[in-house]
Amino acid sequence: MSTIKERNFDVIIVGAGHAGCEAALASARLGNKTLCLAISLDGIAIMACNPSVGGTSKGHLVREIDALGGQMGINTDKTSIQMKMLNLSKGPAVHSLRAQSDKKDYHEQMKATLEQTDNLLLKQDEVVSIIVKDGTIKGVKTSIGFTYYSKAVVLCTGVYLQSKIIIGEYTKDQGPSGLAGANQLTNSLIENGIEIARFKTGTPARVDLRTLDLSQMEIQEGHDDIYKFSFLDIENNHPESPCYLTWTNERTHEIIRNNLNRSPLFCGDIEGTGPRYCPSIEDKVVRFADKQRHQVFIEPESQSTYEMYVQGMSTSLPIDVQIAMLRTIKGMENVEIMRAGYAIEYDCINPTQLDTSLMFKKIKGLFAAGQINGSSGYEEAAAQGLIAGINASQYIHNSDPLVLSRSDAYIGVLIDDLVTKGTNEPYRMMTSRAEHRLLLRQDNADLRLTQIGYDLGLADKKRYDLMLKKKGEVNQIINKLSSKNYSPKNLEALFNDCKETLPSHPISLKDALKRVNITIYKLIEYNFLDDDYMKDSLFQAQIQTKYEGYINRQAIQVNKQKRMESFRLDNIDYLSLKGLRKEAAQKLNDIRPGNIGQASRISGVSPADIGVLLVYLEKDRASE
Amino acid sequence: MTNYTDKKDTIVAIATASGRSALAIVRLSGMDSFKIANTIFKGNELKNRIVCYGHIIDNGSIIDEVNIVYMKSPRTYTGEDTVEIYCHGSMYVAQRIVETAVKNGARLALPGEFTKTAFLNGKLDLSQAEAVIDVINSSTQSAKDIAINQLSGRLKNSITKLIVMLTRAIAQIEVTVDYPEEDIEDITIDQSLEAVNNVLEYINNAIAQSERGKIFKSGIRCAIVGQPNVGKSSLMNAILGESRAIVTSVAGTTRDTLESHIDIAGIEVILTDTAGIRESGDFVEKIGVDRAYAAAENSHLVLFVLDMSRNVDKKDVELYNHINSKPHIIVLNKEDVTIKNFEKQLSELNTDNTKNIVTISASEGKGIQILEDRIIELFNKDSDIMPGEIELSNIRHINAISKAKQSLILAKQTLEMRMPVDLAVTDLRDALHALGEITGENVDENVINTIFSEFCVGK
Repeated sequence: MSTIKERNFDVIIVGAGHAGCEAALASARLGNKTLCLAISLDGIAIMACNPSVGGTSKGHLVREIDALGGQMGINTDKTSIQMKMLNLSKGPAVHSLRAQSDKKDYHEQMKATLEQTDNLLLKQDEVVSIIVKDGTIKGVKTSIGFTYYSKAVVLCTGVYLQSKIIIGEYTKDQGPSGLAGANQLTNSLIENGIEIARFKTGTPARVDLRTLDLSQMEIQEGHDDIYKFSFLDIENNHPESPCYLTWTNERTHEIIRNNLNRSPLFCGDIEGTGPRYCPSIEDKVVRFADKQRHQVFIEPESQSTYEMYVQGMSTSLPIDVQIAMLRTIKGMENVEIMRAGYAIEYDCINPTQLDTSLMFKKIKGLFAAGQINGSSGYEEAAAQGLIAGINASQYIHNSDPLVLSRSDAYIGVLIDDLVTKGTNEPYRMMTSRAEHRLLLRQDNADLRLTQIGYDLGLADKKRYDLMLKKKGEVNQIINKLSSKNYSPKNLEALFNDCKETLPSHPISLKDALKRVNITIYKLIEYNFLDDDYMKDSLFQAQIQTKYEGYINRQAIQVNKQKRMESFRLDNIDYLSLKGLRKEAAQKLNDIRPGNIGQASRISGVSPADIGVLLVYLEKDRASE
Repeated sequence: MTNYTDKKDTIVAIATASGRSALAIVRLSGMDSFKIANTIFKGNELKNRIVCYGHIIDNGSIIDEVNIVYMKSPRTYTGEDTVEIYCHGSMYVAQRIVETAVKNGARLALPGEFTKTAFLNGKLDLSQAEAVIDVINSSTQSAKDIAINQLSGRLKNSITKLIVMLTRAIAQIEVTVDYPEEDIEDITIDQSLEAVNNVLEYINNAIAQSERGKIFKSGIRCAIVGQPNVGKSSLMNAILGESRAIVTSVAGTTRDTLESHIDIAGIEVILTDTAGIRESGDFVEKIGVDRAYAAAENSHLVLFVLDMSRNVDKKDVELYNHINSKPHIIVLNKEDVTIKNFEKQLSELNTDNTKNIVTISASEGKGIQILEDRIIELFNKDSDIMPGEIELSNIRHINAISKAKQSLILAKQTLEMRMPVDLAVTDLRDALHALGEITGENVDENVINTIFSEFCVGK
């Protein structure tokens, strides 16, 4: 049925933002004939908000994407202009990598990667409708007249659906960064029974570097000698660029307060639900009125532009107010705005319509990933895109979907939260959402996930071998540490140096390493351990040893959760189940959890309801 | 999360209906039933399906004299190893036995859990399964009741206060973990430690004062102690005559004490007369005295009786010294003859409890009302015997609070070892979940809400 205007593909990806790129690459790399459609090819992987990747819990997501064989980590390492490890004063589970990215390079490198990938076609076109037959996706139609058929479609529409930008009294139907929005697809989704929500987010102004007095600001450098996002060694040709810190003051706040009547947020012109995680400056000034100053970070957008991002000043105030308030800030007295800050409203879906593979429960073969699912953030989007791309491929090959559990990965927590609980504001990943976070560390993402990526055919041999080597070395080191006891006399120099009290009886190096002040590097320095291991292996062995007790405690909690998740729930008519409370039956019927563990996380489902479900499960089994 | 079907758990509950009866049954089911029974029971050797006689012991002290049967799986109601303990029909005693089993590794059974376990082990047929669902369903209501209605205003407020304190302590750590670059002062280990200690202190109070809660649930246990023939029995009879006896005298928790349940001002009082002490002869008397001490030990309140017709002697002082540390009332029994200036005799006791001395005449029934008022007064809210903010009237609550305490102690240890603060969060969250079980709240969302309502974070 292939004609010039009708083509067949295995998988179609709608959108080429951070979710779309990962989905397209995963699908194509898994051998599927893949089409990726974007409203503008100049908008591929654009960073429409802050010029940075990672941060707390988001850094974890990027490491996990990388460990599975995704692209975000590699692309960030290639294009970063500064890297920082956050939370170094805290435990290793919450150490978080954050990169400042060169936005233009990020876009270009990602576009180049897509273009160079086999099985992947990249086209500029707007999808106006989806084709669904008998509850199964058949393809999409585009605005310039193409019909593309496929077995699977992944919607990665970001903030483009019926988007509207707002700058004070000025509004315009438009996508992010001056790009066009997509104004027809929403209707097609509604016609196919998909429930739509409306969210909003916002971004600060971009200002001209030449109009800033950086000498009035605090310089913010990156860290040297830290690991990067990718477990592979990625070349980076960018010199380091610093960021700058300055502060708002009472005058800034006064201008904001005096103009609240012109703020669309406060006079009701914005109807979408905004995130608490990215409050606008007007929000912060109103809600935390007693705070005398707020941080403002000046971050380079790219090394090939004078545009600077003003982090902390996200706003939808009128442009004259934006200029006036920025000019009250130290070092910004003469600032020129190059692009105004704006709020953007967009259509998204209620993610509880998806199953844990990110496929719509009601439309087979149709997947959704990224901001359309109510999430916020590049990393959250990329993580979902990767999983949706993998699962689109699994679906068309009749293979089991990849569902990462809450104890496998932050990606598992993210998707489980979205599809189980839904969200009534843009969802941001946080380490405090991951109940098993002591196990879900950046440093062990490869040990947790690379085997899975390799088995799927996504993570390559080089990556796999590196992980195996690390795993082997870690075991070797830990065995060595516990193999022999050392007398206090032998340990005396080490313990004195580290200011630890000497034990009265012989102990193993493993026990010595559990002391707060003793590091694995000190063991090497005192010749207790050889130096011929990879840096990564030593670091890993140290963490596994030092925090063994905590890690084991968490593992027990995981086992309990796993047990609950081993009770599968398939095709149950909850509404007819005697004994369930009505509210619970309704919720279970809507969300259709895959197992008891997931069911127990639905709000409105009580422990007693879970008891009823368990009894029914046993009854079914008994009657088989 | 509660582990509904974990067969590794051994569950325990009172199997008989609540309320007063001659006997109560405490049932254990699960792998460790035999082991736990062997730990808490001292008496004949437990053998499969043989009724054994002995005592339930907690920390060396006797809780009750019981008959006990161990039944090996699979021929039991639940299909698991089961132990049934037949104890005296006092809810207080039965609850103490349950607590002791919990202390030794059992978990409190959820409503309907024995029946559910029975079904899961194939001991019930399909039609019976429907009934099981009804059981569980009805307990949904009661679970809800517990969460909403059964929580007295004060308890609910106190637990809510605890949850808020703990939530804030966690949010303070979490906000700096999730927003390390915000303009928020990093929480120090010492600040976290202080917050944890505050919660711990509050919880410790709660646990200490849970005794008070039990009193309202199971009554004030009140032992009448004194030398032979000082008028203990007359006093007991006088109180029984004066008050509305709600249960006639039944054999007490030990063979030689008498126990009566009475209702004073709406509060149940269990009077124990240490009858054995009336026996004469050194050996028997020795046993009697021991029993008196044991009864006093297991009481909330001791009525220490002195006979005003004779001088306070060495034996009185000895007896008094034994009960002196318990809350007590010194009851002066005035019969026909009274020693002049008997009050002087009291100096022999060297008591500092002078405000709790009541003079009565047991045979004439005089002063009984005053004595009763004093008993109730001692247990009133503002009394210095059992002051406090939390009443824990339900064993489930006490259990949850104890679990929270254990987790808080682990968190405290982490902080004291100067480990990074975020490591303490795992245990603090466990504590929070335990408290959430009492109120039925989703406490996880609270943490995130607190972060955003109390801290100005986000870009």
